[in-house]
Amino acid sequence: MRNIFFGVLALALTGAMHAQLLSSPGQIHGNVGIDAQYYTNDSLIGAPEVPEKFRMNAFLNLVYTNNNFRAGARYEAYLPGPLLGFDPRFEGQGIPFRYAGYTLGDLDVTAGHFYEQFGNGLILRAYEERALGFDNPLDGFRAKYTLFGGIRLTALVGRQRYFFEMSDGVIKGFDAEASLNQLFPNQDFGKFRLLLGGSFVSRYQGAQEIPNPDDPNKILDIPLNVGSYAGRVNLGYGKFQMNGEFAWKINDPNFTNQFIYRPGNATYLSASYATKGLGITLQGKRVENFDFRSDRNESGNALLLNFIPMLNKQHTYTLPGTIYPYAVQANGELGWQADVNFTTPKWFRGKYSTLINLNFSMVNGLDTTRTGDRQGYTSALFNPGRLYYLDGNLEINQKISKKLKLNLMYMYLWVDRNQTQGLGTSPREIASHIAVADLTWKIAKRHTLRMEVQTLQTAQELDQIGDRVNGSWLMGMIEYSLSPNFFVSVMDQWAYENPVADFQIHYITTTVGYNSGATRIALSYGRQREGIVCIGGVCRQVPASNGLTLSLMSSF
Amino acid sequence: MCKINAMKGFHDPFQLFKLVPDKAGIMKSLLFVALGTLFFSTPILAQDNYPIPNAEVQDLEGNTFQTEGLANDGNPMIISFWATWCKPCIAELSAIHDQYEDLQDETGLKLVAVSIDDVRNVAKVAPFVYGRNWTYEVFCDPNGNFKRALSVNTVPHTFLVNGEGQIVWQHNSYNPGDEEELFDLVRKLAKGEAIKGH
Repeated sequence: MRNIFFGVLALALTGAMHAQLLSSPGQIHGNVGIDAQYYTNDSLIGAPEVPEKFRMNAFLNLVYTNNNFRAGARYEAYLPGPLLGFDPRFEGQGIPFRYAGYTLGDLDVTAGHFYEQFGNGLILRAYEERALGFDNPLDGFRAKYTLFGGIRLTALVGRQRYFFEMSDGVIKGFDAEASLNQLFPNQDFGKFRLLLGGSFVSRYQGAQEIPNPDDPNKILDIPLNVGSYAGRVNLGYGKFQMNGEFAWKINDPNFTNQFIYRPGNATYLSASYATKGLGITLQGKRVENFDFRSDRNESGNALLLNFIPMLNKQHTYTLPGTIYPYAVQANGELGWQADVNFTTPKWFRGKYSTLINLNFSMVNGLDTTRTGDRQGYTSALFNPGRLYYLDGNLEINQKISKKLKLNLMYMYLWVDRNQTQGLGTSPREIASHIAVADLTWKIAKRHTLRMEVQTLQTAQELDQIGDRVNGSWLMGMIEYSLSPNFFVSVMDQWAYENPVADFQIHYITTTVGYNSGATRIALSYGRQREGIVCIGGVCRQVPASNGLTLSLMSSF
Repeated sequence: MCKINAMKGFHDPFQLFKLVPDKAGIMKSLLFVALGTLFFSTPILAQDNYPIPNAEVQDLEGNTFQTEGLANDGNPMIISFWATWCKPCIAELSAIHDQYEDLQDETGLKLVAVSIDDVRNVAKVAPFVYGRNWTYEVFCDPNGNFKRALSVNTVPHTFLVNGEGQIVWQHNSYNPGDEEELFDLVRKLAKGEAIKGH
């Protein structure tokens, strides 16, 4: 029925669009992304065999806008299956995203698929992260209304995208936000700014017979409606800014918390100071039993309804970012971060000032005591539990001359690898020192050479001899670009100290690319190391692979 | 021509959707067909010049801002999508920063930097921008509203807007030296010359 309804809606809207076309044709824009790989066998790096040899992820987005009206759709194809490392349930093709909507004065309505975030996303964030194969829009109705120019109301009902289907659970949500300064624009508040917000999100999912783990003859009494609430404050005074949100969720026995009845809560706080040449950020969070999905039986990256941010620096250099990455533990962690950006004044360093970034972050588990019943555990409010992650790093950017720019970075990294990557429950502690040098040399107008050298130094784990990540690493990269169209790069990651001699592997990748306007084509050949790719707080496990990869992206 | 070729290709419009054999799937596809029909019957498609689409973003103080309000008094404007974790973005914005004051004096240019950082990094955006002495107008797009409205795939992605508020050019990715081409285009716009969009 729902699909028929959307069909009729689509036809009606097409009619309306054609009627409008007479006076105004509107605009069609969109984008395309194709990632295809031809796999070759490489058992040495642990690459799984791909019998079909070739796989592709591709999408096309179309967006139509005409004055206040908009409509769009996305076609996706994963053929013959998604690239290695993406959820195999994506296999196939179809139109998992389509919508229509309009804005009329202070009212905005969307029917079909939409993305949304309430506040900091602690209880609702429907979003996409294409590089991770992560896409969880809601499909339903959303209305937004602005009152008195400063109060924003959002209400929505929908089901979440689940690969090429929809979630079992139905989501209802409401959010209200008021900005004091926008409500009373003529009032003089001086340097003072205030924003208040509150939201409610609920999931309805039908009854289900789940055996009680404590007594298999009994069935768990599961709440069909799971409600969550959040309140937030955003306070500013001159160069200071503070943001805080607290969220609460009623008991939500689910697969990830082993079906316990304990309610969940999450707190996020940030404070920052920003002035010319100096910026300081402090962030903290505490999360307890706060994995929230539109299906109580799901795990991994599927059907996530909320977003718990990681609070550590988002490393983008290869070794710091991918050897021992951190993944959020939504069911319990306590983390904080301090970040300072500083530019040396001209009188101190002369013409080319130095940019310094200093960052420290730490994540602990919660200090919990098991209760032995279906409540699961009790927890101490502030006492940190086991250490999961610690990262201290210093980055310096220095322009040396008109032609030379140098970036240097040092990082101390400590991780409990089993805990942070879900590899096991017993601690596996790894301490490492990482150094990066990145030099950009402008040889001539439009000709640039960039070189990176990186190393990760750590003690070998002799009891983990089957592990290809084990031991210290060296990495080198050289990239030549001819602006504005061409670039070519060669990269080698070398596990030079792996205790298994056969695993002292060179992972060499060569990439050639062409850019023109909003189109980019890149072809790379070589080895991809097994590991975890993380973007914006969500991670994806990537198995090792070897082969030829084509990537095409274009917007129009 | 476009229209005739399209008609020849698909006498049976549902032939296209044989891969979605069930009825529900076909109904689902109707909106796509509708958009396709528009695509082939609309004389003006993805124009070289088009207005800035509207989307909700936030200013550095957390207030909601509608992007249709972006303007620069008849002067050229750059809209640059970036993120605090994106090295090429920072290289591009730093390279522009080195010559920004001179360009502003010469052409009246304004650069609007739209950060796509999510909650993890959004609190760091203002300290990052101030810490680098950037004087750009900065907005945050933590859930990708504006990014999607402009069909941006990845960052960095740069748009050039003329004095009438029309997008006339866009470019994806950054290699050192690319800013020279951008500056040439900004100067052309400031002189009132038309530039060919991509």
